[in-house]
Amino acid sequence: MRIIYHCYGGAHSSVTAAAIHLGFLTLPVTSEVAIQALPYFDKHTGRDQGKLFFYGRDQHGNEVYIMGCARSAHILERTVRAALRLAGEEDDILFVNTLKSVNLLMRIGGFLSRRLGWVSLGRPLVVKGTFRAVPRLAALVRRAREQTC
Amino acid sequence: MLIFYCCYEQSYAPVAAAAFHLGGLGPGCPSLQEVMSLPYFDQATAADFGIPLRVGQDVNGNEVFILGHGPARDLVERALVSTLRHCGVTEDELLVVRADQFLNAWTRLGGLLARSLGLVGPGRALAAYGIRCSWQRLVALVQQVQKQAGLDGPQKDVG
Repeated sequence: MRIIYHCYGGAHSSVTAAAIHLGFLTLPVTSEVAIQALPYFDKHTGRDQGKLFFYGRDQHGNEVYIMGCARSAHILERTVRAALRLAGEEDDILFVNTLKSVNLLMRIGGFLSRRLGWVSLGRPLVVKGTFRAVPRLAALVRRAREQTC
Repeated sequence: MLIFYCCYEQSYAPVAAAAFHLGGLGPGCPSLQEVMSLPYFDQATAADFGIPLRVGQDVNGNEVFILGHGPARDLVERALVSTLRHCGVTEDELLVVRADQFLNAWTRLGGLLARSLGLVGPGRALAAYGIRCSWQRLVALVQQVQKQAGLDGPQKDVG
């Protein structure tokens, strides 16, 4: 099965949720440094929105992906499913929207860092916001795991 | 090769482009009736955004699709290409062709009348008229695509 964690830009909440799912981020998270060091964290730009990025494979063999869908998740979900069918693969996919777990600090930090390119100003804010959002993201991942195991 | 003719809605320019690609229409400007009677002309809705629809296979075995990307053109293209690449399809087996450039005011107005206001008869005729206006440019684009897809040489005998 494929699990796709998706958010607006594919740079923060989806990355963190995928990292929690795969055990890259050990709970409870005690340091903001661990978040900042995650692969792809605060890296994707607008040109990466819509692209499917493989993040890893969990212990049950499920493939975990991240994706930035902007405001078009409903359309892109259809595209990904159709593309898989087209390639002759099974379209058993779980789409998990991580935007519900995003807080104001993440939105502001993400906007400054990714949209305006003010990384030195935005990244510390988005890291702090993500640190605070970890419990909600972990709950989201727990529910996703229950559906896939 | 997988060839995708894309536009905001898949109902008009991609349908005509795919029809020419597959030989359903010739290079000469088609009549309104010919355009309006194309399969899938003025059929798609917003629920079809993002889903490629296979319309046929050309004589070289290339699969031809039409695709409406809705308000997410770049994102749909990237999602399509990246997903297929994850499935082992290589870049040179894919061709995404943007047909947005053939959406002129007539086609837009016709689409609005037919799809949003329910004036199907006049809307379809206007949209078809718009396709006729763009026909020569559309043919030129599809011929370029056919060249890329290996259709410029001697055709295979499909009989």
